[in-house]
Amino acid sequence: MNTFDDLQTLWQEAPAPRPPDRLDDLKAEASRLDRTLRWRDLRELGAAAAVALFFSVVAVTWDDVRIAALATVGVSVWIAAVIIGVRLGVPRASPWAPLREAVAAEHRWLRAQTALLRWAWLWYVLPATVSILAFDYANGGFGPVFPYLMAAGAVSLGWMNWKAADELSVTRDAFAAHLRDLSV
Amino acid sequence: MSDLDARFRLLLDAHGPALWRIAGAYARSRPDREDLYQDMLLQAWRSLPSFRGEASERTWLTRIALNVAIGAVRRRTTRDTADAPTAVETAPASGPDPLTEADRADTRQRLYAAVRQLPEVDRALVVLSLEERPHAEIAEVLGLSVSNVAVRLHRARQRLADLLADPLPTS
Repeated sequence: MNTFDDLQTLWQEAPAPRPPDRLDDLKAEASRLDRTLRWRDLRELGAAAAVALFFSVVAVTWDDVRIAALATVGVSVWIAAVIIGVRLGVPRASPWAPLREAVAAEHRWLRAQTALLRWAWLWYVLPATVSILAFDYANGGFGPVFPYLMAAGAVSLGWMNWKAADELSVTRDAFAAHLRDLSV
Repeated sequence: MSDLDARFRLLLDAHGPALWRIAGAYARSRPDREDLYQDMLLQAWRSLPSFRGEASERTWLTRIALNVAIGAVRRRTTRDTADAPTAVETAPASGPDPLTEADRADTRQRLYAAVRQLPEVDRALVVLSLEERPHAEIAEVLGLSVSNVAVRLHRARQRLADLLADPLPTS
């Protein structure tokens, strides 16, 4: 049992389960997955649009907080633009792409996601914190402790994203290794 | 039954067992293998309406299977657990000698264990070679040149032989 031909025979003798008699479960799961992906995109866009719309109304209605509200509109548009820009700028490979193409696309996507998480404190946490502090200032102050609470929240949020980037970078590096292996 | 259902059913009948074997090369436990196999079927079903015959059905399906299997690495890194042994690959006894079949089952288990120890790309090469795919088809599936496949496959088979010569690690 030592030639490769023997191994091929042995490999192909492995028993396989019968294909499912009905495809209903598979179809239901496929529909559920498609729906989840569609709603995920719509939910993100919807949330950004709702925030922008709400603070636009605030900016028009209340003079005292106009600048802070406009800053919040700008921040929500900016955050949505960054997320959408990365998603559009780093397309995924088709499910039936050759392995090298699929691994390269996955690696690009993982690199982009890792960078987004790593620098979330800069493009996401900091602008959001500044816009909230702008409200604090415009409102005459929510209290002396508020800015410190905000700063602590911002630091911990940035730190959590940084740690998530660390975890994702393990997978990114694994894909980089696959890609190198496929490119040699 | 719709045309799409019928096409999918034919695909499964022809290539389902190969998908199951490929899943076995990438999964680390029986439940893992079943999940991976289901994911392959799911992706194939979702992709079937877009299939335009750019490659043969077998090549197309194998690409999907390998992409799903390699993509499973992503899900695995965050919930990394110790390898659980995959169920022994026993074929239904067809001969009169049960000892021979037991030996074959044991060797098959060693083969799967050795294949699973190969690096991802070598594993893909060896699996396709064990499936008796011609070099041209392996090149098409992996996106490599035919000559590159030949060189790499030679090395990968050597690694497999070395692994099969070593005693299996105890779990």
